[in-house]
Amino acid sequence: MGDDDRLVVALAGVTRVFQTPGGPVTALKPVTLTVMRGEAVALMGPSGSGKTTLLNIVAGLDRPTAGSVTVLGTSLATATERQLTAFRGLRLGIVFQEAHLLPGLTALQNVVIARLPWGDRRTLEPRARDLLARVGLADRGNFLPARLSEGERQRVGLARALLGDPQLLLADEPTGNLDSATTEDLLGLLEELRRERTLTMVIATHDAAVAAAAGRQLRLNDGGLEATTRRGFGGSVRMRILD
Amino acid sequence: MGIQGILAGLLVGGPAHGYQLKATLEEELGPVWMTSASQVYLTLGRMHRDGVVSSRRVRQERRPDRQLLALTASGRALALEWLFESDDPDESVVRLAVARLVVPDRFAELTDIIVEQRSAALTELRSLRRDATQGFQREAIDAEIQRVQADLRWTVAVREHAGAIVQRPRSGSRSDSSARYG
Repeated sequence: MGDDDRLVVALAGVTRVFQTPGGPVTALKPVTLTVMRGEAVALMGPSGSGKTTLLNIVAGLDRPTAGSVTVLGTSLATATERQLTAFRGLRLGIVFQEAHLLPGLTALQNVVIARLPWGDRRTLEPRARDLLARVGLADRGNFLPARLSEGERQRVGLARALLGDPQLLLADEPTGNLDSATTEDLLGLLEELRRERTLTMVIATHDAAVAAAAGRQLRLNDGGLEATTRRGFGGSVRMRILD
Repeated sequence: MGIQGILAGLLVGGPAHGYQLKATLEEELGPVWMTSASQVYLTLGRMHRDGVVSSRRVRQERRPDRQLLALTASGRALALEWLFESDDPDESVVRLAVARLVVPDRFAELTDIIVEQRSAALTELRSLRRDATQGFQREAIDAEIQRVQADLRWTVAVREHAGAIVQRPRSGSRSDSSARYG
């Protein structure tokens, strides 16, 4: 497999300028970035640093002011809205801070519904059940969202994102509403899924503790990307000795 | 490395008396960091014996002579190793406090190093957590994960304000105008 086949995200000179009544606001300075298949990359930075803007551009939810965006071999900067909708529906998984489940539908129905435009309910439902089991919710398929905990709702959102068997999973503050142990459970699950499926992940987070779960961390500051790489330290874990 | 690393680190800024080193630690880190005078002088004695510092007697009028301590070449290497390469999570605060005084231009770099160290520790703990299914293991690892997360978040917050932190005057600088460190 050549490098081109392994290239999942390729951004070159991507900028985003918003026109506001007070004048143009630069949300992203020229960003150049590549993400390879199976990588987990964290986009870090404080609120307003541009990480959600960057994630939206990679997801085809927003267009750059300048620069080229190629995701899974598709050039997003020049795609039509219709092409972008199909691209998101068929090739990407997206997880947000809140799962945004439809309150009147069961967990299973929530997993299935986003894929209905491109699939048949009878074939989607068994796969959705398998995915709910994979995220530890085998016995929750018939529950309405109100009966689920925050962490369970987020896992339903993850199952929904995975139903199309995407090669790229984008997550925007996926653990923002979760307590510490539930955060660890979700990060552990994401890592297992990444390994099982050679899934590529881009996770936007302001939290260094969440970013540490990714193999590579990139920091955005004022819309500009500061390259950060691991130095390969062995992590020192405090071992408590029981004499 | 403990107190020896801290004292050597402070001396990177230039020669100082033992009393000044202790006072600096108290002024910069007090009241949550306690430094005992006997521990400082005992450690400085050991450092002198081991060739980490050299000393020069300075005469004072109407007061006892003082020993002015300076790092030797090996002492300087030891100090920089403690600052930039050691990885004891309990010493992150004091390493940064010392760096702020003696190598302010490398303060942000040190925060990056500590962030990377703590991130690597978190990765290791998460890997241990995956296989921890027995007894109270998972809860014990979660407790450690939460401590490392707290260290990490604190260090990131410090990094975000690194510019302002190194600009802040040193504690007690008005009361003692005599040059301590370079």
